[in-house]
Formats: sequence, C-alpha cells, structure tokens
Amino acid sequence: MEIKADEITSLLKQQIESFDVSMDVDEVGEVISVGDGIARVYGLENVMASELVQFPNDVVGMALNLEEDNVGVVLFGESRDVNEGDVVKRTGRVVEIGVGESVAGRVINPIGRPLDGKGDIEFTERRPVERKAPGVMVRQPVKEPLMTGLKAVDSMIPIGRGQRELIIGDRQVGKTAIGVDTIINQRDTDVYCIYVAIGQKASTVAQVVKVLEDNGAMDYTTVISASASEPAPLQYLAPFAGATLGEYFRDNGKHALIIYDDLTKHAWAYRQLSLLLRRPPGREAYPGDIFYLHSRLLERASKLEEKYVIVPKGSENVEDSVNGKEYRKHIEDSAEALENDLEELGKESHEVLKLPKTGGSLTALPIIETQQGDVSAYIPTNVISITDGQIYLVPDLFYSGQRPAIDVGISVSRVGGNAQVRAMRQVSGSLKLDLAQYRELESFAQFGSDLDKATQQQLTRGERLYEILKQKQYSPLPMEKQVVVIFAGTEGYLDKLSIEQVERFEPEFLEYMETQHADMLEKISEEKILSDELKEELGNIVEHFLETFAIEEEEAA
Amino acid sequence: MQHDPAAERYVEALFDVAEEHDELDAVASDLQDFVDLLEETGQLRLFLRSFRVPASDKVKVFRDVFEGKMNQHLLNTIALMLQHQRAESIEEVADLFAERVKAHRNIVTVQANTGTRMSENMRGQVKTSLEEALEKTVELVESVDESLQGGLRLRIGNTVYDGTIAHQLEKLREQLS
Repeated sequence: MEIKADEITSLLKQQIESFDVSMDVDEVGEVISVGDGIARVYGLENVMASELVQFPNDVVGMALNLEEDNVGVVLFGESRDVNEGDVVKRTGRVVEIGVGESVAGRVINPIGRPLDGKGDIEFTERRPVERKAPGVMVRQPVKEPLMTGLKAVDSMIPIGRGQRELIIGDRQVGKTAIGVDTIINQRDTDVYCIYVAIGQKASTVAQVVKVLEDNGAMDYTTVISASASEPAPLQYLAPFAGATLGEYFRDNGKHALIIYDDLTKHAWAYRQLSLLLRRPPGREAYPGDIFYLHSRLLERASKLEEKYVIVPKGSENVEDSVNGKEYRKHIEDSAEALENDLEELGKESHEVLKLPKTGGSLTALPIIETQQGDVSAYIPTNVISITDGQIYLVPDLFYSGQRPAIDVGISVSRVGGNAQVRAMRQVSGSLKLDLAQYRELESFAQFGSDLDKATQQQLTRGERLYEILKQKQYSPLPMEKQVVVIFAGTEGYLDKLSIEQVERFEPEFLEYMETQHADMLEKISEEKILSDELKEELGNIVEHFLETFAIEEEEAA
Repeated sequence: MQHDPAAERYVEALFDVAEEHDELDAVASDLQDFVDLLEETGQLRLFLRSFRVPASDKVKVFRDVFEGKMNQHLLNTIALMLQHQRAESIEEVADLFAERVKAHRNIVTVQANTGTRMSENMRGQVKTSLEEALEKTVELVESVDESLQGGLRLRIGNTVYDGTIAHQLEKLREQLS
C-alpha cells in the first residue's frame, strides 16, 4: 500500500508540474434577467447558436436566441442558482454529449451524466447534439427487417432497419409496450437500443428500466431520461442526445433502434421554451419551427449504404483492395461493375469484402399521444407526415381485449414491405385483406342471422385471425414461430376450432413445434422462405397437431 | 446595457457640436455636474421628469436657473430634450457622452481585479504593457477581491483575461477530477 501512496503522490506532482499556468481569455456577458429557465444575457457578442455557456454555481445553458442587444439562454440547471448581474462565460463548444459503446446498460440524462449510480462513464468521443442528417447519396433504401416480435406488426406493418415508424394512440393503450417489446426482441441480434423518456414520471421510467433488466435487455440498451420534473430545456434536448448516440452506432456500421417516448411532450417542452424566449406563437401556440424541429430529428434515422472492395482471397484487410475501387451493391451499375471486375480478376483468387463503418442503420420509433383519438391535431399530423408509416392504437380494441390494440385499417408501413422476410410475406399476404373484409361484415352481420355461407365463412376466419394476433406483453416471438402460427390462421386450419380453443391453440402448438418439429422451425428461420414442399409439410404438421388437439379437448370435456 | 436609440442621437449631435467648438472637456464636466445635481436634488429631477408639467414651463425654469452657469451648447441640448419630454434620458446621455469622448481620445477602460492591493510600480507596469498591447491609452479601474487569492484578472469590454490563483486552482481541480 505504501508504494501505491508514493505513486499517487508522484503522479499528482507530475500533473501539477505540467499544469499550464498561462492566462485564460474568456468572452463574457452579464445576466440581465433570469426566470422560468431562461436567462437574458448582455454581452457574449460572438456566441454561436446553440453554444454551451457557463454560469456560476456549475449551471450551464444553451444560447438559443441571438438578438441585437441580448442573448436568450435556456438553462440546464436551476434558475434560482443564477442571479441578475452574474458573469456568463462562453465555452466555444456547441452542446455535446459523450458517445461510445460503454453507454450500453446505463441510464443517463440528456447531457450524458449518469442517473443510475453506477459510476462515471468512459466515452469514446464527444459529438454535438444537433447534427446534420446524412445526405441522399450516402443512403440506401430500407432492406433489412427489424423484427418487433409482435405478430400483428411484423406480419402487416413490417418495419425495416433505418425506417421511422410512428406509434400513435391515446393514453394507456399500450404505445410504450410496443416499444419495450421491440427492444426486448433485439436480445440476440446486433441492434443497440436507445429508449428516450421525455417528460415522463420518473417512476414510469424506473418501471421500464426494471422490465428491461428483468428481460435481460439492459445489456444492449441505453435509457436517456428527462423526466417531468427536469427543466424544459433538458426535455427538449433529450431526443437529440439520443439521436447523436444512435448515430454513433450507425456511423460505425452497426445497427441501432431508438424510441422517442414521446414527442408530444417534447413539443410541449419546446413550446414552453419558445414562448418564454418570446418567439411568436403559431397554431396551438406552438412555434413556427416545430415541424422543422421534428423533421430534423427524425431525418437522422437512416440506412446508410454499404461499400465493398475486391481483395485477394483470404485477406481480411480492406486496405488490400486490388484496384482501389469502391462498389455499391444497391446501385445497379456499380453492382454490375463489381461482378465484371471480379470476373476479370479471377473469382478463385479474389473475394469481395465489405468496408467497415458502412451499411449502418438507425431505426426510429417515435411515439405520439393523442387526445381522444384526435389525429388531426397539430403535432400528430406533423409527425404522421414526417414518418414512414404509423401504428395506430385504439382504446376500443384495447378494452375489448384485443392487445396489442392495433387498428389494422389505418396502420401502415410505407417502406417496410421491401424489408419483410419472404416467408412472413407469404403467410400474411391475405391477412390484411381478410381482416378488412371481416370488419366490414362484422357490423352489418349483427343485424341478421341468415347469412350466406361465404359471409359466414369470412366472419369465422376474421374472428380467428384477430384471435391469433393477440399477444401478451413482454413475450415477443421469433420470426419462424410467428410464421407458423399465422400460417395456421390464414390457411384456414383454425376455422374448425371455437374461439376459446384458438386462444389455447397458440401456446400448445408452439410447444409442439418446439419439441417435435424443431428442425422445421430452424429451416424456416434459415431459409426465410416457404417453398411449396415446406408449405405442404407444415400443413400436415398443423393438421396432425389439430387431431391430437381435438382429442385432448374431448378428454378435457 | 440596452441603449435608448434617442439618447444615442442626442449624444451624437452634442458631441459633434462640442468638438467643432473644441469644448469637449467643458461639456463633459458640466454634463456630469448636472447629473450629479439631479441625483442630489430629487425635486428638480421630479420636476423635469413629470409629464404633468408642460414642456414649455420646464424649459423656462431650466433656462432661468442654469443660463450662464453651464456650457451654452449643453444648455441648449438639455433644453431641447426637455422640450421633447425626454428628461429621463439625461443620465443615459451623460454616460454615453463620457464613453463617446473616451472612444474619441482612444482611451479604453480596463477593470483590474486583484487579490491584494497593487503597488504603484506594478500598476505602472500593468498599464504600460496594456497600452503597448492595445495601442490605446488605458484607464485602470481597480478593485481588490480577496477571494481571488492572488494574481490578476483584467476585463476589457466583454473579454476577460483571467490569471488569478483562484482560477488556476479551479482549473487544476477540474483536471484532477
């Protein structure tokens, strides 16, 4: 121990000796007025927009309004710690957050300070919170699926990596549940998850963290929390901080998923800031740039292009590129050139290698809370128009027991179709149509009982399909299991069963598949497509299972 | 702080007239005296500021009292301001005028905070080196703040040059933590 004390002393000595004693030059200003989380500062002539400024008592702020004779600064700390006449210093940096893989498993606030009491975080680098979204040429269309593990979503509203899919609905209809289930479902994938809680109760955030921990999802998840008691500027900053973190993964060729829960409260926080900064109010008193704010945020979710090089066979190093050319497989010309060049150089002696740090993605699932189902309010319409589709949750379905309470009729995914797994598309092709027809008949069928056979048939089918779309919370299903269950439904194998039996069918059938036909599940998960033989085989398996299922039923009776 | 644009206009005009007649010092000192007087005699200030008193009465009283006792051009300027009911801008005009004169003479005010009182020798050194660096005449406004512990902090306009012991310690603390 003695040696250690010595070492420490010498280390300190070294640091003190090398300490730079030069004079520091700072640009300063003075607080004119302070209140409601806003300070007006005189001076700070060369301050940048969204620059971090330092107040006394360790309070920091962000310069938002640069006016002719004063600067409007939003405070990230308590405004009672700032007094009129205090000296404000420029830092010369815009607002930043630390990023890196070490944030996985942590709960942090929007400026990167840990909230979970697990000690300091070693960041790889610091990046500005507000960054420009990638341009057109470095992107590529969404093509890989991001499985939510929810049958209703993955079958009908598929989400692709790099997509922005809105989750919208009234309070208490399971919006957060969809987000959390999606995070849990990324357990054995290479997707990092970020959950941004904006203006929520701290207890609710704690609950989400607990659920994630219990399901082993915290290992790859970061929670950024700016709870309701936090100042509005922090709430405003939270989603941008999350996006910066997600971009770190995306720009390093990895995949990330970010959930903004929720952007309604974010808009409120921004409205509060803007009004206090005396920016003119617009519709519903939101500032004029609220649309720009959200589109800037959501535009940062993207799928980046992959680049490839040709290297001699066996080489792991992309530096060994034989001709120095980079190829883009998603562009037809470039893909062709790659094929030709590879042919020319000799396929036996050369191979194609993906450049590291390319092809990453950031998928965003923003959440919007509506009031009494009013989707035509300002913020919901804005975000609907920005995103690539929406999952619409309705209370009626929720309280009738249909959970997740997704309204299939108006929920869409505008780009996810390209990313959907083939096998899933095969089994769910008719699902949306069947359900739509069922809903149309449903209301009208309640008036009379003398329906023709086809109508009757459609009603039974619809009812059973709705039944298999029900799913318990925190129990996401892998793709292959979803495929076999939906297969049983859409192919009409369940029409003979009663509704109660359908409810019992799923868990028992999945158990049967796991124990008796694990090879079948494996095949689907590997091939990702149902060939005709596979389909037939699967049909036989379902039929065989239903025989034993029916017998059990009789015994139980 | 934030200036009244009207005050700036009066200052500019007054400055031009005073410079033409080479009366900058006289005007500046008379103006300062007048503001001090306003400070001392609340009644005069109230009278000049009150909107219930007609402008013509103010001008008359003002001229009666101060005619011949202050620079004629300054007298006219203040009378003009009273006529336009702008008595509340007089203090600001005085401040701005002083600043304007300083800028004209290439004088810059530097606030110097020190931990202990500066010796005469040191003050001279600080002043000359500042004057060399800024190429301007420097007017030092000193204040002693014991919490700085030592060293010197200079503030020129909105820029602070911090070389105090307290600041160094703060920096060291940040580096070591």
